[in-house]
Amino acid sequence: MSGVAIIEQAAVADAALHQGPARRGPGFAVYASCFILALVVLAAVWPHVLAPTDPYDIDPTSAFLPPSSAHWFGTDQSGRDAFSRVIHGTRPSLLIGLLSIATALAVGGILGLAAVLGGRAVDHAVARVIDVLFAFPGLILALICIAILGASPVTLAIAVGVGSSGGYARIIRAQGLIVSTSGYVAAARMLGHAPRRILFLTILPNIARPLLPLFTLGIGQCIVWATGLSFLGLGVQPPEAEWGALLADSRSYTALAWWLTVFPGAMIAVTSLSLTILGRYLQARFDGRDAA
Amino acid sequence: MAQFRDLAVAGARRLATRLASGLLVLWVSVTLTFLALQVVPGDPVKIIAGPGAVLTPDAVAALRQQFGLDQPAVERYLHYLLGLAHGNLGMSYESQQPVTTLIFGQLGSSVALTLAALSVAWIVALLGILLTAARSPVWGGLGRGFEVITSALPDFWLGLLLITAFSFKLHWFPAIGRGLSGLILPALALGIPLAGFLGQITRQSFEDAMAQPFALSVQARGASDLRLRLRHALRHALLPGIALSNWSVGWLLGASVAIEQIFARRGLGALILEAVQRRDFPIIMGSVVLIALVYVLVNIVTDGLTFLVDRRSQAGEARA
Amino acid sequence: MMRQVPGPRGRLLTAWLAAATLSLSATAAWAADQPQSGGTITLATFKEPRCLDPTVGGDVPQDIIAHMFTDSLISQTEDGAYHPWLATSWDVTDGGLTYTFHLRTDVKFSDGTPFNAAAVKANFDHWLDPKTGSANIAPQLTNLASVTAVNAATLVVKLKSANAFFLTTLANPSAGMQSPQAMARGNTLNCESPVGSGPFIVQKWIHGSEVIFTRNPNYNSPPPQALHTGPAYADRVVWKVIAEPATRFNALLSGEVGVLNGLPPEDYITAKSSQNIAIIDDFQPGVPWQVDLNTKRAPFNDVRVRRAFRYSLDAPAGLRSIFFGAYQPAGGPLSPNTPFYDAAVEHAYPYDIKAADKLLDAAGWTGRDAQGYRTKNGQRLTVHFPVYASTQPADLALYEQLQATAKKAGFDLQIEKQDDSKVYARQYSWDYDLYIDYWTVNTPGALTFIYDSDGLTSLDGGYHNNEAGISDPHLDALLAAGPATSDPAKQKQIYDEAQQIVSDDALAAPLYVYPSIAAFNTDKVRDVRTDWSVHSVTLYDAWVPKN
Repeated sequence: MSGVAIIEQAAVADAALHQGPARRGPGFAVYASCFILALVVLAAVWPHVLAPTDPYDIDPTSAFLPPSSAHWFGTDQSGRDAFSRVIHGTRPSLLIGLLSIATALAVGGILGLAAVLGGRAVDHAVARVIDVLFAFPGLILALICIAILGASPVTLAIAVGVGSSGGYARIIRAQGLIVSTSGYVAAARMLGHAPRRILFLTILPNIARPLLPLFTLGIGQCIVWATGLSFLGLGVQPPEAEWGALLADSRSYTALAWWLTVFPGAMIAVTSLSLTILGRYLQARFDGRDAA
Repeated sequence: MAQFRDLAVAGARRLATRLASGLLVLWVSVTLTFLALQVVPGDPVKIIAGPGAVLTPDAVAALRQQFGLDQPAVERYLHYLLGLAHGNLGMSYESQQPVTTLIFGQLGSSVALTLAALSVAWIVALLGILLTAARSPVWGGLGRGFEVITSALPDFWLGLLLITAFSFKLHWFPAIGRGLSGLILPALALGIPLAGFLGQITRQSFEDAMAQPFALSVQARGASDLRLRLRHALRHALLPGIALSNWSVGWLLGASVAIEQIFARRGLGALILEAVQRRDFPIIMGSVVLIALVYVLVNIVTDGLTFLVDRRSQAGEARA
Repeated sequence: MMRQVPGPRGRLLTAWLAAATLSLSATAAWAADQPQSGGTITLATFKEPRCLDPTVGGDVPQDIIAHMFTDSLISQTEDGAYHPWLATSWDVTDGGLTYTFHLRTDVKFSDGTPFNAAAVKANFDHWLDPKTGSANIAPQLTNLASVTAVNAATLVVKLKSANAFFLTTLANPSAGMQSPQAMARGNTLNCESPVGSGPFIVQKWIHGSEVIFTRNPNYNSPPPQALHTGPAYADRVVWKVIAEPATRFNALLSGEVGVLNGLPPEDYITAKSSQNIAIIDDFQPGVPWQVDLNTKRAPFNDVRVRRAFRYSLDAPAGLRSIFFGAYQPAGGPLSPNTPFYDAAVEHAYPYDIKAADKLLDAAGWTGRDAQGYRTKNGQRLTVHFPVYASTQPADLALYEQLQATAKKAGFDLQIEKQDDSKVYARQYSWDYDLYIDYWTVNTPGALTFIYDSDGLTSLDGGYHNNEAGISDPHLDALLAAGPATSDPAKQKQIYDEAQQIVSDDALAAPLYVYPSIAAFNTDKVRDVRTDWSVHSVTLYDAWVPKN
């Protein structure tokens, strides 16, 4: 499963935070990513605009038709339009990704900030909690969440979010420590600003800044991980079209109907790729501003 | 010599701290799992008995007693910790085999896959970096693009494509092969996305190292480009990648369940999935212990490596 | 008989059938070859049992394993006739209350202990011991009065009431004879390494991966329907679990696996057209794969809604598109190859949305909400269908098609995929409207397991067999009268009426006849049979061709 990817992505981001920023303007890849993401959002919000065919309308007599002008991505085992199912699958997939990363950043943020603001003892405690989050097998965490709360997109998102929060907590803590020992804070203290004011006007904004790229990078990775769990049959309920579930359905037919495997997977990969490219670009920009 | 002794003392102190916090992590993981399992719905005894199994209330009570489920949770918890301290992970409810036997039965396959995937990841990532990092923008762009694209690939999708193409269609690889030939495709499926991440993180430090003054001076001494890359820049660039690999180990061990399913491999992932679905609590607890332990140990080892390898920082510490 | 329980193809109590029809696509190519000894046969199936002792629980795969290492007292052929096996003959006296079995005296279990009447009695004790947890044999022997070993070669069994299907139970592979010495070790050990007198010996069970069998060199007790006598041909049999259907099938194509138990339906066509793949295309008697309709709560407490639901399903269309015609549609309470099957009810409920609409209107479900689902007093016509997370993809796809056609009649069919434990819990507490069911036995007695009001409760307060929740005194009386009579004409009359009631009441919606499709790679193995008895694979006659 790609849970590890989330940590790794965080590590990539982490490394980027402490190393020289890339100073480049948005290139072709960034524009292309934005365009793709715009389409993905459109598919999530108004799927009928892109795919007017009903994704649940069965027609057993036209099952397993290869891609054609009538069915761009072919048809599935029940004769449903695969293109329509992939497009309509965008909303649950994207929502799971967004909710996961929101959970991860919320948990990571609380832990990270507590470590920064709570003094030495709290910092030590948080460091151990983060250790536990890393050491605890993500698969077991997700499975236990699902066993307790039942298989649903929300459960999936919580499981993925909590499972990946360790990396974010570590980054936020590191960023917080840099900020709170930085010149701004010292200056603010010397100016006699109230601690609360320093927290809200100086520390928080500086911690929050790198979160946007992290958020962007994280959605993609969370989608990959969540679809991985969904692939195991732990996500949405049938007949809902969600990318992981579509892939799970397709796997008996890989030799017979390649299109059922290739397109949903490609959607996951392209979405995750676009988010990564955009996230990396944002990261470079924010770091660039930091350095300037 | 004094410097060396200081180093040894510092090292021992560091090791002791690490061990203590490792134990703490292990204990917290076990406790959290135990607590969570108290809330999980589903009665293990009814599942063992199975629908259709006409068990008398006496038989059910006997099963409960056999598994210690008739005792209060606190007692079971203490009993478990006591067993754990002696290396006893208990018996599986379902197969009534020692958990250690069941886990170690799967461990070989999981460790083999984990190591193979890590090897694939390192080979692919290092090849990419040695060939493309700190070269012309075109090469750099290609390498970077390759890394970003591979890191976005879902491993289970890659697995499906690989097995369909190379096993079902081309018959280059067995569908269920054991041994090396059966390891290649699943290792590629897990390793290629990992290579993307390794590559990204290593490239950054590699390019930094190549831009350092010492790189120029090595070059000025007449070393070849390859030698510079292999002997000097790479050594400095490896640390973040090593840290990353150590994070990956715990994950790969238990988390490759989709890949295991696709390639009909057994492994810890499959064992865990079944154990949770069948409420086989001792196996779940045992897997948490094992994976957390591996994480802690790998961390201590890499921490030690970092401590010893990174001579510059040590020298600095010793002097301070 | 068999019963859906955990996992995709659940617990099974199989019944006795006859030598299976082999539809071999490659017969001519190797018909002249002679069997030869030696070699290893690899068999792959979809699920690992929890115990190798076939009486503990009663899972599908345990039947194949039982055939490997045990022999039963008697065997049965498809025509319903009973034949000797470990019992050479038997007498039925006292109006069907006393059975006297005459046993072979020259058979030894593979641990060296002798097979005799005392051993048979020990097996009866083992089946009935609650600690064994037998879900297949024990429930069929509730009317057992006594078992007595008169001498080494003679066993007398007395029943409390006549049971026309008693011998069927003994012919079940799960009732294979095991060594008393091995059983005495207790369930834990006996599950790992059970001992019988069969053609193969359990050598090693690598949990989660494979069971390894070696040939029993002293085997001398094959049933009369076998193709040869003496020890089996193969040196070793490796019995593997491969859960992923596509991988399982491709391992067969490439020859990594010689025999497949449970050919994935999506690969049926490919298998048929492959030169070196032989298919054993068969199906099992009893109650077909169906969904039981819970009559204990709304909306299925109204027979009109149940009938409407049946009219709204188009399972045959799904079977054509998803199962590629590999599975045969079912329409009646019994599968067509079950004795006393009544063809009159097979087509009682064709796919007919208009008929469904009419019935639902009459039942008061006249409103329609924004999504097009029917409503009554503001309540949506929702049908809850819990299914195992591990349900095979093809089955799930079929349910999705049913969902789509039921929607046309206004049903909101909710497929609720949950993990096994949750699904059980819902079964225990009657929290479902539809529940998957099947029961395989080659007697119409299968109906008793599913519709008798005795099945409304269970001893441990959990699982109930009567998933429809039906309690009909007249049906109970019919189901009790069936086994008590031995007059076939009377039995036919009784079971015709019972099938009519179950169909009229729409207590279940049958989907397909439970298949027994096995396949083997003729480059790797020959003469695989879905044996002389049950429709599960047997490898006694199988041999490995030398290339």
